[in-house]
Amino acid sequence: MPRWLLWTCISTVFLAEVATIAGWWTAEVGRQPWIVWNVLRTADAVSPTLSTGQVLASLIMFAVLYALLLVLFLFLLDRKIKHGPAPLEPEGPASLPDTFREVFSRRSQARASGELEVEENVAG
Amino acid sequence: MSLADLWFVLFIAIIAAYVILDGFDLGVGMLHPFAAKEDAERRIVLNSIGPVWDGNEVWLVVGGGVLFAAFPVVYAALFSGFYWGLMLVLLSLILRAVAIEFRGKRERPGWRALWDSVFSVSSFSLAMLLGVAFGNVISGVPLKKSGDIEIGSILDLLHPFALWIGVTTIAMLLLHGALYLNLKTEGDLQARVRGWIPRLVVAFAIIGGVAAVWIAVAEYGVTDTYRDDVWPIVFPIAALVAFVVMVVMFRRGRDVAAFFSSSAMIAMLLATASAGLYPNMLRSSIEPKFSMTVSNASAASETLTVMLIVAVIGIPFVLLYTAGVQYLFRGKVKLTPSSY
Repeated sequence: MPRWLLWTCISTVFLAEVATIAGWWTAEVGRQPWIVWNVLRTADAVSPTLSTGQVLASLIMFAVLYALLLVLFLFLLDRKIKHGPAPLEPEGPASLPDTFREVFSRRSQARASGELEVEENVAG
Repeated sequence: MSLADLWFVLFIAIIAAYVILDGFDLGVGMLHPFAAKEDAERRIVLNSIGPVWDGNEVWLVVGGGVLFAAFPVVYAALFSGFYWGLMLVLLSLILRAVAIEFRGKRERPGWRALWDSVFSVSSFSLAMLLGVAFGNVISGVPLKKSGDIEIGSILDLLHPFALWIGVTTIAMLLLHGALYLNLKTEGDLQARVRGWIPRLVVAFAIIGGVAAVWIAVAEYGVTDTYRDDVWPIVFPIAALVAFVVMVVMFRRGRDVAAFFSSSAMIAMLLATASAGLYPNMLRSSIEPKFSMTVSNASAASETLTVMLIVAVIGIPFVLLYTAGVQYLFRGKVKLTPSSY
């Protein structure tokens, strides 16, 4: 695959994010001063008991939290990429069933072969 | 019974489902550092709620959504009046989720210890905050005629009664979570959890008893229903019976029955409180006439009708998959490569 195509693929990750934010920006900012177009103004919809300080503080709280989570996420992702894919492990002794059919067929097989103990405390 | 009344009952039922389901998630989170001593045990405790905690938390969103659509006036007053409380709840929910997901991603003990603490502290904080909010709803809030709650600062919400209900919630969910862990663990870990349960039973009995007496004695208005009609008394009696059955079942080794009795008790306690609150949803401590009732705070009947149709179709599906996932992961916790 030519390198320029690979770089284009990488850029689409960011471009998609830019496109999403740009769309939201257009909708939210473009709608002002209405919060419901031609029905309700934003200034009239604000909670009277909320102060600007409260809203600003909570906004900062979320911004800091999300920034922190982004850093953590990138850190973990970086380590995972450097580590490479996990080696194939042999199937563990207790593998979980994936479908309801598997659940019921396993139980009837186990019961037929006499392996299944009668469990009294199983939640129904 | 009017459409608004029906939605009140549905709303309480959804909240009850949340407290029962996410209640044991919170209980497990709070017990986590005390019940599990080393990494393997901590993983087992975490994976007891691993497959189900996300779906259980969703019931809170459903409750919030129902409040928004069916009782928008209450939603507006509550979420802007209790603003900082709400922000802290959101912070705790996010941190709990992140702690659960990030914990297993590195092997360093420092990393895991950090996220273990975050998991536990956020579980405690959620239980406390929700209890405090509930305590404030019971005791009444400074609701003005315009429908806004006039709170000076968040400290006004932290009065003794609300704090006590917060502590009661913590005690109740610790017990509920311990009964769940008892079902999901084995060996030494289970023995340790079983050792905790009797103490938690006593703690909850005392703390809850004080709360019950406090509510009965204080003039909060929630006991009016019980003085006017006779039949609502079935709820607190059922709660008490469920509590006794839970203790008896546990002592007899009937662990599943004990857990279900605890769930029934939680549902009946919520029913008791809401029967007392009805027809008010948010009582005004400034002037009772300003209170928000089921009828004056509900949305238009067209809205409620549409919502009812959607709910009747949707909620059975949600219950089905919730039960399905619990059944799929029934029995003791087994760690697999895909576990947390």
